[in-house]
Amino acid sequence: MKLPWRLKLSRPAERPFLVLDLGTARVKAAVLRVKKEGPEEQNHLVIEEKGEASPLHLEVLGAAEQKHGQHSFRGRRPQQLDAVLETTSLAVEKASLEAGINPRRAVFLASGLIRIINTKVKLQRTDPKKPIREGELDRILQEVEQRVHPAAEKKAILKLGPTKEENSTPLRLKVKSNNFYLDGKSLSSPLEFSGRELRLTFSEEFCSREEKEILEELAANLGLEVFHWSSPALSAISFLRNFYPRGIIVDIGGNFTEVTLFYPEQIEGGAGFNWGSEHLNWLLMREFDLTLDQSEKLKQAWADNKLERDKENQLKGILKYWLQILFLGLEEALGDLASGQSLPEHFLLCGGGSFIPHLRSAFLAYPWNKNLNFAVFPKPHLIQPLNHNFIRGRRTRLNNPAWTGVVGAAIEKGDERT
Amino acid sequence: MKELKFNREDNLAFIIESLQQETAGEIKLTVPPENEFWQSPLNRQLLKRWAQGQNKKLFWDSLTMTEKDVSSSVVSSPTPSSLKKKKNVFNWPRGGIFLFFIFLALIFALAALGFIYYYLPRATVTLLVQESTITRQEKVTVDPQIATLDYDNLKVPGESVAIKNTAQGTFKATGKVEGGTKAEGEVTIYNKTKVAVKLKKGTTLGSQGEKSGLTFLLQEEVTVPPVEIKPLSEGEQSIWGKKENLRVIAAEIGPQYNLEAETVFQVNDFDPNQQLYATNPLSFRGGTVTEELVVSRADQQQAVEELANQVYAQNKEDIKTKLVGDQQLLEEFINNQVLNREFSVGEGAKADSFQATVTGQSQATLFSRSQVKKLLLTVLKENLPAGFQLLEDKTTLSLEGIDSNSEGQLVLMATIQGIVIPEIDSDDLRQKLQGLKPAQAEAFLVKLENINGYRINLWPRMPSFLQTLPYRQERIRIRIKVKNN
Repeated sequence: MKLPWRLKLSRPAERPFLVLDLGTARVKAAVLRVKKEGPEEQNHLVIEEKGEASPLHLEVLGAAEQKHGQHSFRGRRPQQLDAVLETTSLAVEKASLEAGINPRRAVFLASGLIRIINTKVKLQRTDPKKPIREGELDRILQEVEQRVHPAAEKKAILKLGPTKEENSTPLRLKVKSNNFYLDGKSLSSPLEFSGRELRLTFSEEFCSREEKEILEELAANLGLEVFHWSSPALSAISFLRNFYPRGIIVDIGGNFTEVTLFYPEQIEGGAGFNWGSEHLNWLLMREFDLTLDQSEKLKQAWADNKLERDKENQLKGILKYWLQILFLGLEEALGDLASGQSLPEHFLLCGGGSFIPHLRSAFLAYPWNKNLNFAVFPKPHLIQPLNHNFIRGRRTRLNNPAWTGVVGAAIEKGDERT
Repeated sequence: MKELKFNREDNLAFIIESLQQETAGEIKLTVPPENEFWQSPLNRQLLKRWAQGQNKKLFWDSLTMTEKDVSSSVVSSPTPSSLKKKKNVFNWPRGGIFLFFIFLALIFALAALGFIYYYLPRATVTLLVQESTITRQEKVTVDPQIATLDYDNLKVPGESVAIKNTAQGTFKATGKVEGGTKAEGEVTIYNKTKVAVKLKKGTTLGSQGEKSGLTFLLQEEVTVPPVEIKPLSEGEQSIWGKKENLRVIAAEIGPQYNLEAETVFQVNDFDPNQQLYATNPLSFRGGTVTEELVVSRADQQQAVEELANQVYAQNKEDIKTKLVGDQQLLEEFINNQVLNREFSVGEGAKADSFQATVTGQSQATLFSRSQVKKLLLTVLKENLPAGFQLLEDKTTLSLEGIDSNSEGQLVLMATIQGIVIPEIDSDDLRQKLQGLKPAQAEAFLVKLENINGYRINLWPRMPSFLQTLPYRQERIRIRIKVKNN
């Protein structure tokens, strides 16, 4: 029987924590503090109850980012762990120095780490007149889990890609049941309602066991106590839900692009492919025979309109080619995530690669509804966490879309901790 | 078929570029498992779609195609030695002592578990019951003559309070009277008759002409000689008899009596044919009129009314200060009366203002609201439907005054409204639930009448074969949750 309540010692709302986003091109670290308005700011023992979340304020105490070496990552996985450890440690140190505090508790984000597998279940109750009690619901959910989990695990193996060890199963991080329908009526919880046909979505979060082990080693060497693992795109939902009821989060990273869909009641997340801003750098380096730094500078000059017309046209050709692969990948990812209902009408672009020049106009020009089920032609939005007033403190540090995941994770976990 | 081989460092951009440069329509790819290409299944789909767009067909090397083969041949990134944690190594002691300690620890652990299993579990059984509303209305008499509640006659003790206060004030007089002076002057009276005319003091003279009708009074007795006829050579001459400088005063005050000179006056009593008349050689003067203020009866009544209201308001406040605890005063049932009234000047006296003093008394009957509630609660409880209990803390009382009498008794219409719920014997329920398995407890609770639902919360969570409601009754908490109508 599920415990109906639990005692929770509320931690001081002002206790800061670290959010670490281990990107494939850059690592971002932020020391943040979440404040809730109202009496819950007090430090006292409370019985946790369901209720509306109090207004949150996010205070940025310190933030820093550090670029990885060119060969530190292969795709989205660390290749030279010593080098990754060094850059990550540097970023954490800088952020902690700025904050004046060195928090041990941390949220760890890594792109493509999590894959959500949703399974829709329909079942008939034997006694439809009897209201559903907690005991019955627990039994139903246990049974659903037993039946659904093996297939979900197999699906997760396919979605997460091959593993090192034979027969290695993915690690399940979280289980959630939502989207309840009782005789066709949508309910937040079916408890105390009666009906015959119960439909629900059983949602499981998986991650690769060996990948998490590597990240755990990294965290342990940094002296961090990680209380939440996620990916930037999944975390960004907590932030972006406040402004968009449904959306497609496209986290364009250095070597990996992750796509996540969210609807009011459901999240489909974790599809990604190995294409990012570093691939554009690679193309530029090949085309113009440049070093990595030179190609970065070239991109920056283009963004600042400082290039000659001929050069700009050459770059446009390369970008068009890069975008062609990106959009093919996005179509594949959206096709993989689509759950039958029409896709959300907002592309929410974040991640370090999202401020590549002309990206938004390219999104607008692409015929998204040719191969995909969009009810409304989607609009691209470039997400800038800096533009939102509830972020205080050293907020100017969060000056590009790459910090969206960090802000989302802080809101998600900060809200739970206070 | 063209074969393309890639090494583990080649990225997706390089693979695509290589495919683009290849002219063959069918290409076989060999990608090592460590390559980033294998990090997501979507990479393969992406490449496949791209190749379709280029009219190329891709084939995969069998070594890299199946997941099984991939998984067996993947060489993971080596973890640097600096990151590897040392495993703890501890050599357990061998022999009998070790086994003895293990056994002892097991005994202790079992004892502790047994203790916890018996004493620790806690259950909260929430019963959902439907509430109903019950209302009772009674006439209640507040009687100052009794000291305790009279349940038979529905009487509650009251306290009669009488308060006396005096108020004084100065008020303006608004009554008016007219004052002034009478006009006076001198007249000459002419006599055309052949006999002397004797006029008494007070004889009236009436004005003629434009301002006719004004009366003046002669101020002295006078005899006006008759006409004198003197023979003349051509005939005779009639010389009218006259009397000059006779003082007259106007009959009334007012400036209208200030008549111009040479006004003709008729001597009313004597000569309707104008054989006797008077004129004033000089104009009359001194006639004036003025208005003066006096204290009227209405002024006095107004003053008494105003002062009495002040006194009653003060009395009411004073009565309120006498309220103790939950005593209540019904303001509309305060009896007021004026005991005494005094004025500095009497009615009709000339004055611009006057002072008034009023003494008033107010009498009220105070009562305790809680005593009325207690009385009504008793009545309500006596009339409760069987099997229900009253939630006393959810009763509401409303009172309305109906009547009062000279003995200070107050009659109230009291309405009490209460919430009733089915009666549940918590002790009995605890006893019956103790030690039951959750399913048994549910089966028992389902059969209970009068309840609409239930919820059992158990702590801590235990394996289902061990999970029971506590064996100790005091660890079972029964909560009644009332469902509103």
